[in-house]
Amino acid sequence: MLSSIRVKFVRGEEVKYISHLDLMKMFERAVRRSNIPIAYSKGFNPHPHIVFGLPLSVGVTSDSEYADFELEKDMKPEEFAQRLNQNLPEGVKIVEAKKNNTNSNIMAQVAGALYEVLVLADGKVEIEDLKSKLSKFLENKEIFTEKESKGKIKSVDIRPMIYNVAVTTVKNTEAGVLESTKTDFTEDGCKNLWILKYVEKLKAEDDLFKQTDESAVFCFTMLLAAGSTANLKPEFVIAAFGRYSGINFEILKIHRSGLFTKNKDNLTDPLGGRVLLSV
Amino acid sequence: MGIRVSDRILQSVEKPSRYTGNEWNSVKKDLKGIDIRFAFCFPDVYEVGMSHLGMKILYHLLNEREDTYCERVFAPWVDMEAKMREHNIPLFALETHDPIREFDFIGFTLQYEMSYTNIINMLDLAGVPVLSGERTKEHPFVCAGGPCAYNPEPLADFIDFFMMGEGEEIINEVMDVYVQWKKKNLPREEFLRCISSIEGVYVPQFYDVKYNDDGTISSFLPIRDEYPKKIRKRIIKDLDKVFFPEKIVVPFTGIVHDRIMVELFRGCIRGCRFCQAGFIYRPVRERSADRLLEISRKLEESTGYEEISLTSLSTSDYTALKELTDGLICEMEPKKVNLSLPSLRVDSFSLELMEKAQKVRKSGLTFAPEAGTQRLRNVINKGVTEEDLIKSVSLAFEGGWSGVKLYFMLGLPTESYEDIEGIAELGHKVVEAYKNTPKDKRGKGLSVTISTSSFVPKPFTPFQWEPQDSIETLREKQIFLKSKIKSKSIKYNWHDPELSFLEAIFARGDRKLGKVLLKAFEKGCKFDSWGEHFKFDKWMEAFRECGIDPSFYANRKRSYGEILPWDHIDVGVSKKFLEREHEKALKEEVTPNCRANCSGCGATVFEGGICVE
Repeated sequence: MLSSIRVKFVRGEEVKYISHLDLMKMFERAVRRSNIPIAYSKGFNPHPHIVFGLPLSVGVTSDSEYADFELEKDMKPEEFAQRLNQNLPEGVKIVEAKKNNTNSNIMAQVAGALYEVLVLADGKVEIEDLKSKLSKFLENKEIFTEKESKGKIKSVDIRPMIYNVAVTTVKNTEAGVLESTKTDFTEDGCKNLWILKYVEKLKAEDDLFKQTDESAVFCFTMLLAAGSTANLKPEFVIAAFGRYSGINFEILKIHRSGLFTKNKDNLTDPLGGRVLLSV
Repeated sequence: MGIRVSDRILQSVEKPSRYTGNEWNSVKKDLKGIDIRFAFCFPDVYEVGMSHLGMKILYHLLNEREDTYCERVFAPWVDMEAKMREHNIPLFALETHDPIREFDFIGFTLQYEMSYTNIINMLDLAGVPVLSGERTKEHPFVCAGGPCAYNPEPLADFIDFFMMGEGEEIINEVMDVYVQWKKKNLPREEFLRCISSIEGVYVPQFYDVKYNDDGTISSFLPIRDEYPKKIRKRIIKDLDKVFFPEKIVVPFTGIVHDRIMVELFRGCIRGCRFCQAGFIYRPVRERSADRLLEISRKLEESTGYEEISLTSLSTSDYTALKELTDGLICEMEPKKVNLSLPSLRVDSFSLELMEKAQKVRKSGLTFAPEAGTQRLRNVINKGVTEEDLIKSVSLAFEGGWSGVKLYFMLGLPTESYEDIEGIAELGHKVVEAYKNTPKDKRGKGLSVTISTSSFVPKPFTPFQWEPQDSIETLREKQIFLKSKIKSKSIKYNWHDPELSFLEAIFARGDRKLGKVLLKAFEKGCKFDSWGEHFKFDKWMEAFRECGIDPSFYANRKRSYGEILPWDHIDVGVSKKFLEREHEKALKEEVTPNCRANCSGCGATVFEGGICVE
């Protein structure tokens, strides 16, 4: 009797340079080390049945990755998570595990993703000005941007794939003091711990960043379409907004803080099915 | 606090995970209580260095010591090196990211001659004086070992001391002496003096070389009587008792050999006369099947790897191969672990074994007849006949294989154009064998690949006195062979003779080559074994500017009486034996393998393995 476990995991700074393919391989080996009764595909070259929600680009961190593991034998999700965690390298951690009672796998269900994008604006930019430009930008019915696909450059309307975007300043950061990693679209000042900690890291090790004016650093929070039917990377939104506003943005960091499945017109939590946002 | 390479830099280079470390089973230690910090350097990129078994063994062996922290260092790829130089980032170790110039030891493993410029480049990038003579008490000791260390002379100016032979014991002995030396705060030379009495340690600065007018060596002597006249390599007598890691680092990114490697035996019974490995690793010593099964089991559990490779110079010669592979298949198949069996002679047993063990497409099988005629195969003592080969490929074709790779060498001693034509003929006969295989049995789409490398005469082989063909001759031979290959099913690949020429120079080089290496490094030579970075013109400029004739090393025939640059190194195999083998080669006489009959090579001095069985 096959059973399936769905986990939520974190991919931290330590492992952000691993490609998606290498991350899959890493999980396969960790599963083998954990002696977890993983199910294998049939055929000449059997592969463990592990399905990941949505590939993460090299260099991007995330506290909301999801994967489904199909097992030969039933196992308590807590035990599964504990055993796997003992065999995962620093930077990768299972934070939640549940029996997967859905009929399809996570990859087929993913519909939306939440990103934090830390940027450095070129020139003097006020946050109020930026906010108003952003809301005007979002008022557009169509936003065309060029996308390369199969060697051809195509013009694509990305507006339908943008659910929401907000921008905040990143100032007065005292990483560690803040507890919440939740993102609120109405908040003033970035509260995302991953972003704030990263700013501290930049201050410590990036010579160029040390010389930059902190008031030119902003964090965009964006909820975008994701998954197999429609997928938008945050870089495109920044690029399109940069062209629209005439401001040059250098992306310093991208962090994924949410990944959602879809239920009718709602984005839901992949582990609980709870409705999180309506789109 | 280690060096923190900014994301801005890491994001701008290819494969940043080469530089971030933190892999599963990489060793983390608290620096408190550590007396020795050892930077184990592989002078090539991460993917190549991480595939090297010797490094895995010694890394974990050194880290077994409570007083020692061994970390890994690889040559940063050119893009990363440029960024490091631009931002003044010195070469750092993967585990702590600390600059290696602060370490006690910088140790290089010498796997191929064309990595020598990378050694100089890495020292320079580390901020350590590249010349041994310019290092002071502030600097680490720079040491080296590995197969190329058997002729250490071209690197004598750069390396403080070499460790000859198998490293498992000697490296611990050297570390023990170091701890004592460090406590006493003695001068740098004192440490080198102390370790020079450890068997296998060679300190080049303690030896004086004099030359004749014609450039050959007139004398090679220790500067003081207390230093050994001959340095004998070290071997491990009992491979079942010696340390073998139960954990190995599992990289995040694909490496060249991304699997568990278990070593069946050291040495080779065959004695092919061109093959350095066949002589320097004598005597043959096997690990027991039980111990190999135990090692495999533990490594599989600790790594989660999905493949185990059995490594040796000639897997078919392992006496307990059936017992071992039966045991491994039985244990590993349920775990979906593949067996990989390189260096396997193709016969009915091995084909059946491959069928059982390997879940690979039946695409390519490799054969290495090395020479095109029986005459020349007798010269090189490669005990393969045409009949053997055709029988083996026919078996393979009948088993459904359809791809065959054939490896040969061009420029072997006594080679004639007839021998070269023989390569093409052998290729045609393989094609013929395919055609003679029933259609329902053979695989579709025959592909035969003939590859030729250029013969490089190596120290400690019967051909150590032989000249290498000139680049022009080698090229003519390649063109000739190409013209003789008529079948459309045969693809012909060849090696650049320029690279082989440089290999021949440094393989048998002396101390005078140190300045050429330095000059070539200054001209930007590095990653020479990577085609796109090999700058032959710069190398030739370096030779010219140093007033050194490269053909003196590559293309000159030596006499038996000449003092060879590596004569002070004792690998067990005697010069007399090599001379005898050389004579037999010229007479086209073969020598039986060690198991069939002892030919008195001299390796019995080690009282181990096959010599005492």
